[in-house]
Amino acid sequence: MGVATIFGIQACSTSVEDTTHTTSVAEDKENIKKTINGFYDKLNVIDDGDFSKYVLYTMFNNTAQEYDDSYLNNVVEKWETQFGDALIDNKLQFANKLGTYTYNPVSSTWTKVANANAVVLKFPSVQNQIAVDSELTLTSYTDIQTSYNSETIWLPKTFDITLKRSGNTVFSMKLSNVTFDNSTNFSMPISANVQIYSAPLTQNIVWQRVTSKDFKFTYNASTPQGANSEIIAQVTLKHSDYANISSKDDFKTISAQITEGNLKIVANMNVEALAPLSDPTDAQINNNSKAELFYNGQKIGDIIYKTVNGKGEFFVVYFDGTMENTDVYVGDFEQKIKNIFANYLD
Amino acid sequence: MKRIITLFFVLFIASFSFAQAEKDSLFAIPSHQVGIGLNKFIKSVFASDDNAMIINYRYTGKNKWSYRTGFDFKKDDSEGGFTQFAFKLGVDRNLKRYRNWNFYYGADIFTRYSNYKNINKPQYDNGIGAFFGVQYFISPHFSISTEPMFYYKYIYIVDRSTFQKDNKTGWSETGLGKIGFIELNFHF
Repeated sequence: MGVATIFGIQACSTSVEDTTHTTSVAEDKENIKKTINGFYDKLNVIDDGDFSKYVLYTMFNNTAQEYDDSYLNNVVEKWETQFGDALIDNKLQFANKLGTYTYNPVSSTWTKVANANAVVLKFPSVQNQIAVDSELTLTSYTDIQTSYNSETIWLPKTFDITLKRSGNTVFSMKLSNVTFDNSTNFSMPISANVQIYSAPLTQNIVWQRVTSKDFKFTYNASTPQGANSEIIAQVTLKHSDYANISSKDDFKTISAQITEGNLKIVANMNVEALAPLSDPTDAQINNNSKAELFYNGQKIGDIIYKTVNGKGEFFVVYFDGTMENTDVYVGDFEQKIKNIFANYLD
Repeated sequence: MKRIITLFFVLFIASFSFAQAEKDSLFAIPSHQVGIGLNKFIKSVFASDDNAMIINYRYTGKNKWSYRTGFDFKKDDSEGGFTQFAFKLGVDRNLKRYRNWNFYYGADIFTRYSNYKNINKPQYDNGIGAFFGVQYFISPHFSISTEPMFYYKYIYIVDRSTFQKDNKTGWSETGLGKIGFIELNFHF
């Protein structure tokens, strides 16, 4: 009876879901391409944005147009020479350094006026410039004592930092809701909210402990005209002895949702089942993981792993069962990124 | 953990001494036997096995034949949780009884269903195994046993939501199983 029941269940489970699909495979492919092109457009907007311009102006402002931060390092060193180290015993000396500091490029010295709430640094953006056009402001700084490998480190709990050039904000970062679990000799962060604005890109990062073994990471990025990008990753540990997390054997599952505009990848992996396998086969990887592709909430493909000529590659299986290497969409990803950020990478 | 292991071996040696006193009389083995894998109690000492069940029942009739069944069940509802159900049926025949030792051979058919909630690709194992059993009676009501097995099983995985035309992945597996797997049995 029991055996008959089990074989009955097995027979029933071979049926394939009857799904109503409202788009053709050609349209699905086109939508994927459109989304990826939109992503590249967004990167172009970031590359042309005020933050990028500021970085290029301050750190690539030489004849060769290569990265050079020696001027900014020099300015900071002069500040520390006059007012003391900013970091002592792994602790930022925020309270002791409150004030508004202005750099004089002619005398190469800083002057200080009182400021009860913030550390403000005003300085010329580039060398040999008289105009003091950059302003870096740090407020609301608090920290917390943590330990890593028996070393005491004071990590920020809250802060608000803003960088302006000629009165326009080019970068800001706000940290809040940072908490740690100090029950082991490893200070495990259990929550953190980070907001980063690097004109025109706004990014939000949220790290939270859902249960003692479940952690969730959420990353969201958007530009005024571009599509929303989001990554939600959830990690489930096999135990909550954070000091002894040392290998993949300590993880149970990892799941992720990656969204770009209307396109979403939902992926899950059973690390617990895969970790003991030293060299898992394609079947073992695919049987212990699942990745699906959605557009406007409708499933348009499965993503599977296949070894081709000794190299692991990902393929999309479309609604009609046809299969295509993801390289048709992202094969030139590295080159595209290099082209977009050529000012930095060339 | 050390205390549990020590306690187990003290119990074993004490029972062994007790059994030696009765060595020349072949006591009657009760008809019903319920067994649990020792691995379930002390994971670090005793081997586990994919083909083993958590609880086993064996009925011995008046002749040399015994009929066996066993099952395994686990359900974890958490994110990334795991459901497993396994069942077996089998028969074995007594080969030799010598003092507290009992030797037998037989065959099982078994099936196992397992599925990770977040992956939702049910895996079915269907197999058959021929085994040789070695059992040692600590007392008339307690024994330990091991059953090295030669097995063949066909495993297939069904992905109900895939767009792949063939939604089943299957393969067969043959080998020696339950090597070092020890079961603690109660007889009544």
